[in-house]
Amino acid sequence: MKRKIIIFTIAALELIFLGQWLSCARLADQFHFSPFDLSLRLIEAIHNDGGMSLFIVRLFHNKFLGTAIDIYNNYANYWDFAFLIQLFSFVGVFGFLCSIWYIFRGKLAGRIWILFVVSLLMPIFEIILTPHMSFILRLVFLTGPLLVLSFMGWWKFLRKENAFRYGLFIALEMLSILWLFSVLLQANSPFCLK
Amino acid sequence: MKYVRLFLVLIVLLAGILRFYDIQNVPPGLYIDEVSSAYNGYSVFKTGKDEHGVKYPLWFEAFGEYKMPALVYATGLSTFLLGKSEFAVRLPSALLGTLTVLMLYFLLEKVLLLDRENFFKEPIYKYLPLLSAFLLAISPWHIQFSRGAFDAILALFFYVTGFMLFADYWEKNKFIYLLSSFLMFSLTLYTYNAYRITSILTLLVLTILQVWNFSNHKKHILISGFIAILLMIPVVQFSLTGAGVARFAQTSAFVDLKNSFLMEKIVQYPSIYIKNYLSYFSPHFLFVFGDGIGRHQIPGWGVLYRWMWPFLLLGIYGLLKNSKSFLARLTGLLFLLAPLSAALTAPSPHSLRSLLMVIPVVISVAIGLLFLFNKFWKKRFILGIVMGVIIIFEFAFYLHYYYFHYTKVNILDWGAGRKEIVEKEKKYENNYSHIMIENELGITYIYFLFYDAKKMPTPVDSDWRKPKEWQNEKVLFIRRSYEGKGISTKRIIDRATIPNQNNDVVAEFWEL
Repeated sequence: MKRKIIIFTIAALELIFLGQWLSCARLADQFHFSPFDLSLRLIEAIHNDGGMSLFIVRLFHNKFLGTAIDIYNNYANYWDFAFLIQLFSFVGVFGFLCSIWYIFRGKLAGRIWILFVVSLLMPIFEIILTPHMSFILRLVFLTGPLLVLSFMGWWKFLRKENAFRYGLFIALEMLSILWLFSVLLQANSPFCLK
Repeated sequence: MKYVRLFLVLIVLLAGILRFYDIQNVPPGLYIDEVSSAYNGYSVFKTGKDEHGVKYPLWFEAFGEYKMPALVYATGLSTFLLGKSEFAVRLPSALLGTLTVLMLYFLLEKVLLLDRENFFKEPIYKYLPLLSAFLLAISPWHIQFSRGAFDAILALFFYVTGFMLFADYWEKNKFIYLLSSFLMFSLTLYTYNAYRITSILTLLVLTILQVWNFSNHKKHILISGFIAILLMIPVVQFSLTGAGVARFAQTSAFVDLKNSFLMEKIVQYPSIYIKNYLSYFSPHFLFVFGDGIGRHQIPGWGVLYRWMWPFLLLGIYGLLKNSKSFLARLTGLLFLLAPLSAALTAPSPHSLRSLLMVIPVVISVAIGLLFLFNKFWKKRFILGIVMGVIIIFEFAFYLHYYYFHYTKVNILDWGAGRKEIVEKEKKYENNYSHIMIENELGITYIYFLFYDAKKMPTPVDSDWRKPKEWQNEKVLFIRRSYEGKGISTKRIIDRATIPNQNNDVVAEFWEL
């Protein structure tokens, strides 16, 4: 029962965090791939390679490599701690990390792997497709798997009942609330364009 | 074992080449802190006094703050012996940067010995020290700072050596190792500001570990601890003075909150600190963009190679799995401590202030790689080829950017053009009664001292005019480039340029 109440509290807090994003029109540019930016950067890079052998210039400055690096860079931004915490709170991030731990240790059901892989892939759709779908819907796709995994992580983590684990839960809840207040004090978020 | 030693020699050689090759030209020019440290050190070795006339100082005043003495004396010695050149200024960092690779190898060799009975038992883990040393040797984070006169590189060397000696003590129980270890940690306090917190905390943790494990060696702990405390007293005393906290006051992350309400402070202080602390673990900082400061990394590159990301995570997982091992505790401690003091400052993340983090990162990546090879041992050749190609490609890509792009794109982040201005000034200084220099050029007196100008130019604003009483005197005015701005350029007698692709003009020499 105690665990269920805790999971409910976590869910409530994570939803409050997600609620902040309702006024957001789209994620900031750092989360999206732009072929136009890439072309400009390639031209600039090639300009600096004056006198260099053509093979080297083509090897290091081409659209294929540039696209791969840009997508990598965009993808990396989705796993920024500050972004993740703002997305679904400290408690949520901790639960998500716990779930990864339990998945790798084989302590969560095998099919949870699928959810984990989906959570890893979701940012790629957002990066490349930037679909003509409403932001809220995209946000649901992006955060849905993360939220479910975070609940599972906490569920498993709290199976051993001890003061340390409950203490950690309370500490992370407090931190999340503190973070929420600090976010509310800021006029602009670096992650969302209104 | 023979092959391992041979590979170690090759790795140290590679580290040396990557840190020394063309060091006098890349990065281009000496930046102001390098010149200031080297000149003051040189002055002390030559005259016994720094630029302000203080005899054998322990703290060096420079541009409103105080520098720690280790780098100043090290660059002073090298410039005194080899002459005032870019190579001599950067020699101590490059040398100790190379030796850090060796020290990391020895540290991990000892740590693994302590762990082998219970953890990391698979034979593949015996390559961990070698692989970690290799990864540090090619690490962009470590190469970048080893090739400039940065005090953090020296401090890192002392810190890793301190840990290595501590592991030696752990293994052999000889007092001399413990004492040397504590001395090394104390030395870091005289090298780089961030270690005032990091090293003291490290010493506390290690002392607790010793009391716990070697309760019958209390005498060792007491004596070495006492000596370390004695050595730290001057730094602690200095830290309590206004001069000692000057740097922190300049860079504190909480400056903007000075006039905030109490409630706002209660919320914002911990939030800012936590945000800063977490920023050091952000993939954006580590693999994408670094800290954005031109001197600290190549633009568009993080402080680590991109291929390292999955292996870093895998390595952390491997360490957590063996969380009771000495290696996991050491790496965990370093991960926790590295951003601790850096997070108090702005901007955060800051790759120089958190340089210590490169050690746990390379250890984790090495564990991640070995973990993967161990898991797919039967496919090790294919895996080796694939990984080899990826690693070599990104390494070559990095070198291409470092030697061919960085030197052009970030030339002004370093001191490029400063030397050229002084050289030109020296050429004309005897022909003029007054030499003036425009403040906006951003070149300070220290460059003129370092490059031996006899006449020190007087700094003035850009709208300065020759006074009437100097009508009959010849004046040389060193200014920014005004070419193409509708001003007559008849009185320009020379120009200083930077060695980039367009040979951009950094200063014009006007005869008034």
